[in-house]
Amino acid sequence: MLCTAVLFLLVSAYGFYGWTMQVGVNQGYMPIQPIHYSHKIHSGDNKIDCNYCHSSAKVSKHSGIPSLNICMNCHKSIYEYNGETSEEYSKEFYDGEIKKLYKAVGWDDEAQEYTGITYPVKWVRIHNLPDFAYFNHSQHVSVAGIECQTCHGPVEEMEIMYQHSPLTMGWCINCHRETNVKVKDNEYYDKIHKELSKKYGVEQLTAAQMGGLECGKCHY
Amino acid sequence: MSKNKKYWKNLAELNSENKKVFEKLRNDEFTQEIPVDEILTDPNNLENSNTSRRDFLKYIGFSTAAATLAACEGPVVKSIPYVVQPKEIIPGIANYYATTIANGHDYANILIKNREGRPIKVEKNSLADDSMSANARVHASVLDLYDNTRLAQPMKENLPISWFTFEYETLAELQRLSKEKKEIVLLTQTFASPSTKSLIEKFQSKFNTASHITYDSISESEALDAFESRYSIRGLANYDFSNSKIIVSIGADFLGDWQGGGFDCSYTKGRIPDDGKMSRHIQFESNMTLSGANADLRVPLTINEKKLVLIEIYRSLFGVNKVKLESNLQLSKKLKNIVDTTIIELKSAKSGAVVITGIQQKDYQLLALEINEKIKSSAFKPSETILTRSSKNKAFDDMISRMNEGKVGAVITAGINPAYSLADSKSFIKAFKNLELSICFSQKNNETASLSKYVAASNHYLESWCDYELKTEEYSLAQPVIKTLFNTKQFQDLLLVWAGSKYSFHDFIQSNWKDNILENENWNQSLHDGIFNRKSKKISKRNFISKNRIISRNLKFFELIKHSNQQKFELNLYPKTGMGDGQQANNPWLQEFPDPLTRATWDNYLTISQHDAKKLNLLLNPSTFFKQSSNDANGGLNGKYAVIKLNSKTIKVPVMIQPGQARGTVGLSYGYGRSKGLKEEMMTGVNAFNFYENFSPVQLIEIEATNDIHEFACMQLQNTLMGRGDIIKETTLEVFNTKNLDAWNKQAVVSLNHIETPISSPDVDLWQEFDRTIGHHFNLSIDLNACTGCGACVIACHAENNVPVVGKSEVRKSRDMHWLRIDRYYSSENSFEEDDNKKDNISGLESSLTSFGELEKPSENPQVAFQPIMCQHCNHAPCETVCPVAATSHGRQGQNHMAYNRCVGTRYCANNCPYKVRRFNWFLYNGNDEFDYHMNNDLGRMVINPDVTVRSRGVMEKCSFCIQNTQAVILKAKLEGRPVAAGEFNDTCACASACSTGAMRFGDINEEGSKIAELKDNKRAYHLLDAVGTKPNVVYQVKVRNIKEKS
Repeated sequence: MLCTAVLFLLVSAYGFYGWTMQVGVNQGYMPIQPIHYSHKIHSGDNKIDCNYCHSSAKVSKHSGIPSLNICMNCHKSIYEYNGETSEEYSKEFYDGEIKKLYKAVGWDDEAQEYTGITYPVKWVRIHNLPDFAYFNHSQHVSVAGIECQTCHGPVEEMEIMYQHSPLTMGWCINCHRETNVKVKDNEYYDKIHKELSKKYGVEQLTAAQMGGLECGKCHY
Repeated sequence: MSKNKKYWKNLAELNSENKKVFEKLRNDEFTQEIPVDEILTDPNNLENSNTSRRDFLKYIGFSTAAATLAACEGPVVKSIPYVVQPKEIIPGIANYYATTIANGHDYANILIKNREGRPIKVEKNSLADDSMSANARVHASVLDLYDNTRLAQPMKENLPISWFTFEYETLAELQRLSKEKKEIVLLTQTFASPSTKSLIEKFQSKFNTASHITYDSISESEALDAFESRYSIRGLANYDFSNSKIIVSIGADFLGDWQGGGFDCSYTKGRIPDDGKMSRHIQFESNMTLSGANADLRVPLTINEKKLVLIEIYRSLFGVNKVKLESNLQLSKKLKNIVDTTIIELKSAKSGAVVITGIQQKDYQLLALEINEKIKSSAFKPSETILTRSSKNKAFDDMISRMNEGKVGAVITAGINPAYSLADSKSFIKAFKNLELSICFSQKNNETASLSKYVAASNHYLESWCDYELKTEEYSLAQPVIKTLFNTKQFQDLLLVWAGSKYSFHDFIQSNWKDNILENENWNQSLHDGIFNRKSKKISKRNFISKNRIISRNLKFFELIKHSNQQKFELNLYPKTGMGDGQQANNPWLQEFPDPLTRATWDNYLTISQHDAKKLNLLLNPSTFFKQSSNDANGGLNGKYAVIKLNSKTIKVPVMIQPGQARGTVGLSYGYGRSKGLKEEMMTGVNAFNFYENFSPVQLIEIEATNDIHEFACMQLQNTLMGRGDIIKETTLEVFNTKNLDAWNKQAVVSLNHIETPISSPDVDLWQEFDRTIGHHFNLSIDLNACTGCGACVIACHAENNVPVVGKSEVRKSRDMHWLRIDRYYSSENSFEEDDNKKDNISGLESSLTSFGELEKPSENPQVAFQPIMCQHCNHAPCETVCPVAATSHGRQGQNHMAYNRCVGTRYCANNCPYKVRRFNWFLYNGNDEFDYHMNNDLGRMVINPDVTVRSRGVMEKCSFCIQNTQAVILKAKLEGRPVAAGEFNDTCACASACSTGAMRFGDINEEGSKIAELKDNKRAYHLLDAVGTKPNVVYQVKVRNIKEKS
């Protein structure tokens, strides 16, 4: 009896622990957006480079949500969808979404001119890091040369964008422990990598060994 | 037997008569029956009850579930991108724009850091002259932009109107008045702006009855008159103290706001004794000022004595008969000796000497100019004329009398607030109200605006265009760094409208510059730089060579009226470092900025010497058990109120005992006691401008003590070092030059096997040493010789790191949040050295009881030392070892990290920190109804730096060495694939970057040949409390005073 009780308590304690651990973790978060923007069509089918729209990811902490003038670079001439369709996502549906873009950016498709009346799109933010965590895209994209898909998953297959990774601290740290610093062709690392790899007796330093586990690198 | 034993508790119990009562009491817990059944069985009772038991449980259940759910569900965050993104804006990357502040009191060339279009910080413009760098008020000025008490649209008779109506109606009125030959007065601040000047001329040509009168709230008119009479330019001489051998200042607080300020950079350049030489600074003054606090010799004097000193110096150079005195006052023997030695020093320094004075009388200002000419002072630069002050007292007074006579039809004010800042504001207000047309350009509905018929809601300087000539031939530009937040316009826009021009002010400046200033240089480059110095200077230095027009003078003194029982005091009015002339009174950063000397926040007060306070019964005794004591149980400082009286005016003002205040004098700062156009919390202090009669900062007043007590909020309550010379190490120039290191900068030693071992030895270290030569290793050097205590770093740190403002009552409880503080210490004896000796000679109980008590009290004219203190980033940090959750830890780069989200608020770290630099968030200072400061409204929050966490309640915080900026520099290097360039880290720390005097230097000691590596090993370098063995990464440089033996 006692055994069962203890076991029950332990199991429920573990269950409670497991439950608390997912608080604030939004893996798989897939909100409905004001405009149905299909990453699958743009990035997968049409093979548009991620950086074309999320251009600030290379230089800034933010990847940046493209401003609507970026959309209009193509959609000024692409006013209908002619790709694969399904029952749920028909041609009419996609064309309707393009119309939504025109309304937002103030493009009169008939007259082929901007009306000047705009309705900025209120996208629902999917990847939310807490304010106390500092993350810089350019460090990962430009310096480390990490593929966008490493963290964001198979975006090119996503009809609806969702959060692929848990974005927890444990997830960050694991990657820092396992990933080697990309030192090639970067003179910044020349000296420090030589000295540190000698100190730790390794060929290749991981991000953790470079100092990527220090609290103050992400929390300030 | 024991079974039958009976215990009784009292005699009554023993008495058998009471047996029943006791039995009942013993058996029943409640002697009266509880009416449970009655209540539960009566259906009416339950039905009439508002909350049944079931309801109660329902509510509990619901609220618990709701709270749990609310805590678990993340909010939906919306992101709204631009429709068309401006190409210069990349989210997350700061843009910098050069601009200029010129608000009538402060003038500086600065850079503005913009994030996503929001100006968030004032930075140094390294292209500009050092003397034009930002002080604490300028650093805080960015917050004024986001002030939610700003006017949002123009007003007529306190009702909002449109700009169209405003322009239409005012133009019609002006044209009518001009036709009726009524005078139109443009009453403005000193703009020092060539384009504004030509615009005003344009306005005057359209309205030929218009006149322009400038008004500086704190007038330098007498000094301007003196300069003008001598050099025919209305301006002030510039001084470059960097090569001076001796600086004699007679009542000039040149490290403060004297003649516009900005002299501290050149001063400190001459104060670094690394080559064995430094300037000597002698200060004669009444109030304790920043200049006096930094002086090698400070002599507290009354105004008469100051005048006599200046005359003595003058006579010694020009001959006794050149100056005649009306009075037969003489210098005291002691003072005469000091002046005589000063004169000898002055003469031997030849052109290395400079004499300056703050006496606001033309004749005395002329004396100083003549002295500097005669000795051919190298510091004296009249040809670089300062143009940031221009008001003429007589012209202003004439205008007021014309107003009173009804000759003036319209007054247009801009950049000023005379209804607040005039001594005789009542008669001004009366005349102003009677005007046919009054227009006030103001950002706030302040004292003057609320009286005006029309109020033109004005731009903040960060929303405006302008150009400036701050010194002759040194031009600068101001550009808007944000679109106007409200429906506001700047003064010049309206001048253009009235003058009938179709130009925008930007076009007007540009064409004016192309025609008159640029000399074919590039406009865009000037705008980018923010400054433009003309290569071919039109003004030749010949105009400024002495013309030998010295005539014998009659110099008047203040008459000292001595009543039989009432002594009059000299009131010295001064601008406080944090508040200036009071136009930024609604700025919470500045209100909470501790005064460098008194360390008081949120207040102004009457400073008085201890001697006079005792005489006037204004002194509170420390640590008595009675009600009126100088300090509360929590340490909070108390002061008595006094009533000060000038003619018929009285002010009730709290009294602060100020060591160093000359006997017979008292001080009171301007800038406080504002009553309109600001939040109630900011209406602090009393208005000293009421006593600023005839624009004279020295007034004779009567003081009467009251028994009322005022509560001050001071950042620092310990005023002396109690002889602990290792906190602020200091020495004299002579010892520094002649003795070896151990005599003046001895490293602490500890005993190891009864052998004295230096603390730096690894043998006496508790910890294993970590190899710190790999990668970057940051150090901050603070030169105590160069730190003047100006406090620019304190505000810069606030702006950079989102430091919250906590309010007066919290400060009084020592809950201030400043990450960086500048400790100020007074010596208890005449010098800190004597304090040390006194402490060392204490022996026995009796001597220690008396001596330590005495050492707590500052001397009447103490030596003063400033010491900026922030987290010392100890390599062996005591805070890190005691944190139970490892929220604070050490980085390889030498920074002590603080992970706010990990902190559980035990405050062990703060208790274990020997430097007391950690700050605890007692409340959620942002988004809290109890605190109405900038972080509690959407407008004020726009100033927040997005790269730094806004801390929550219950966590520790402290200086991070601005890790967000050091990391940004590293990332920039990585992105460009190069090593970090030499000196690239130097300006990353907000404090070091704001320090215009170079007292603070930040950098990477592993960078070869870096300045910081050199400073760390400088012979003057020492660590604070090195005996503790914390091995800090902040290094101080020993203070060296240029004190002559027995002077």
